[in-house]
Amino acid sequence: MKEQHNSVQKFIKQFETFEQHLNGRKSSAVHRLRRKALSDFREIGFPGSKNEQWRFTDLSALLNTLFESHHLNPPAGLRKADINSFTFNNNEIQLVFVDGFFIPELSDREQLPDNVVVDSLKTVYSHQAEPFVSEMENDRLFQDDSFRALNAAFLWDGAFIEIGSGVELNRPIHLLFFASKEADGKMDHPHNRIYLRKGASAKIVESFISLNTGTHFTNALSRVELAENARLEHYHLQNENLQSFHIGNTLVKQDRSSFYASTSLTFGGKLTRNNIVTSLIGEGAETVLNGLYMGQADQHIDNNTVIRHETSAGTSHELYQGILMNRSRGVFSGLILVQPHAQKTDARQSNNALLLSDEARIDSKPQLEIYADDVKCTHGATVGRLDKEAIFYLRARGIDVQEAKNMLTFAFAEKVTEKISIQPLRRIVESLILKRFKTIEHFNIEM
Amino acid sequence: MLEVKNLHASIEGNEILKGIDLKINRGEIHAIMGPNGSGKSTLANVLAGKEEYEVTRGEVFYNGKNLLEMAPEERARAGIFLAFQYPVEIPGVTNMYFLKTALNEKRKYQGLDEIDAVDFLALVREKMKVVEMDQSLLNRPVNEGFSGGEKKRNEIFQMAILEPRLGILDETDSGLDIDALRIVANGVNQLHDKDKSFLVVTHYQRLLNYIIPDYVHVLYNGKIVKSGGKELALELEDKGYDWLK
Ligand SMILES: Nc1ncnc2c1ncn2[C@@H]1O[C@H](COP(=O)(O)OP(=O)(O)OP(=O)(O)O)[C@@H](O)[C@H]1O
Ligand SMILES: [Mg+2]
Repeated sequence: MKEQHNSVQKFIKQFETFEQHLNGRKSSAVHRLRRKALSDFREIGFPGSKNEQWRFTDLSALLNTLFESHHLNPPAGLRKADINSFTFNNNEIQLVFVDGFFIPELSDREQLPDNVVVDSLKTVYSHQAEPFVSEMENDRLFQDDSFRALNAAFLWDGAFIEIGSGVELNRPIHLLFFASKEADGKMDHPHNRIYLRKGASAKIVESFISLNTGTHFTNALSRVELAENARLEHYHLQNENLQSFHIGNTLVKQDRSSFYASTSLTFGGKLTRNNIVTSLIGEGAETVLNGLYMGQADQHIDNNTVIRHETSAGTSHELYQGILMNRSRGVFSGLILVQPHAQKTDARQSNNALLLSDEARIDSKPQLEIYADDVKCTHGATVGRLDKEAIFYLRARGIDVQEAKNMLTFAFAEKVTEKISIQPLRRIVESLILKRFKTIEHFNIEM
Repeated sequence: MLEVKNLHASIEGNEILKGIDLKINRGEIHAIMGPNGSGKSTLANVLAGKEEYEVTRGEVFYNGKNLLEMAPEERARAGIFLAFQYPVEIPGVTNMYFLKTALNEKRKYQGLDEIDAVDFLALVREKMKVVEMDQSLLNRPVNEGFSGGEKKRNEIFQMAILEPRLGILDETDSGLDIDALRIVANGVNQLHDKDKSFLVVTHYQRLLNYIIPDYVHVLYNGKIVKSGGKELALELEDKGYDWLK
């Protein structure tokens, strides 16, 4: 309890420093919002060890580290050439953030169609503070969650995306969040707001990448709203360094007949917690949540998803595949909530973990809460090792034992990667998987 | 080419092979028959290098090399091919990719370059005809959802592509309809030449009408209790195994 209190104080202290740097902007409406979020945070504190939502994830390493808030100025020196390998051949609409700052020179927003806004959030709230603040207040995102409250308290920048009615965007939008070499010991709270109006469709990728090797903390939040018949493919690729902490919050509201597909790809981070909450509030909405995570060394990867079927005829499909090596640990909690009015709901969940060492571990907790009677809900979980018979079969055809294991592991991951519709992203992800196969600690165990 | 001397093997402490002696020369076809549970698959798997089996006594030489010291993949690259009694399903790995990887491993071992895509496709087309295999099976994951007969045919197809020096067929004829049986036998006969040998495990004399063995051995309770020419198979068909006990 005492430690808890200390870490809350640490963040409050950082807030004060952050506030000092704001100078004249302290009295703005946006800042009043930050202060409100901070006081919420002060009240909520951090989740304690008894908190059911955090049962398998110990936050003490994160809370015991002191993270400083933003720098005063955007870091300089990063060039296009430094980030090319993380992009999709520069064919995408691109917003680049470095240590929390939007960097227009590295971004690319040429040839945006009409009725499409892709901008830095800070630009938007600096010019139109009032609508932004009232929207945030109505959203009530930070009243009951420590990390969301912190995200709002340290609100600085992120992406603002609005796709107008009927616009079908064919190029993906890529949001790149870099931690630069100067990010050691720093924290960043990117906040993205994504709106797809009636019948709009888009693909949005968020990539989180460390260019540094020291510890840093990313506490990201994306708010997504899909109007009637809107369609969004939303990717979250996290490959931060193995000393870093990552909390990702994705909160989705879906109106009638909208389609939301999330693909969560976690490779990096010492401790990662991804929360996805989708609310199907309009009839006939469809949600797909896919996830792939790959842990090595001492990584801890926690995926927590909540699908709220609020009304009838909604569909949700969820598939998480986890590959855990060495002493890494995975957690999967997936709640499917079907409210009384949500008749004819069709919900399917499956989460599978492949343990590649004796010390790797997975805790999984599927949860169905069903208050309607005419529904189809299924869930399944598997925990397994590579199939010995399959390995022998491949070896008996001349394939090297290591290669055989890699082929089977790759095939396990492919259940998710094959669903990535942006080919350059799929290639990036596949090369991250293959790179893991080459790391020293990999597969040094008797199978 | 293959010399098995006093081979004893056990699994989980149970001795299954209790002293096998077998010599296969270049170009010869040997058949092994014997009742269920006598150890035929155990022998085939030990020769292919399955690690669950512990060889407790005896030795095996393959072209002068100590086979028991070689990893399964080395044996395969050196020309040993086991057509499995129960081919394994490999989800997510397509037949084509699997075969190409296997073939290239062998070529690498032989000091050859990787096969180029066009040549590989031509080779696949040619061998597909031999075993009359359906094209659609090539792009599916290895054996996944294949019918029993399709799995067996796929084994022979792989064998045709990899061209082993010693092909071990473990009951490849079981579960095949009469046409498929002929096709499988045809696949073996096309491959067979004066340098290539086969060890064919079967329960049915029928197969040996198509694949004519030079020798027939009866495996019983972990030992070869009788060896003879191809007429021994007919005799077994007639009398069963009881008289050999
Ligand atoms: N893991 C194991 N533990 C114990 N016994 C085993 C194990 N695996 C195989 N055996 C036994 O070894 C014996 C030989 O099995 P094998 O599969 O070699 O027989 P087979 O001659 O091929 O029979 P079939 O004609 O039915 O294919 C059988 O009695 C079998 O039960
Ligand atoms: Mg058998």
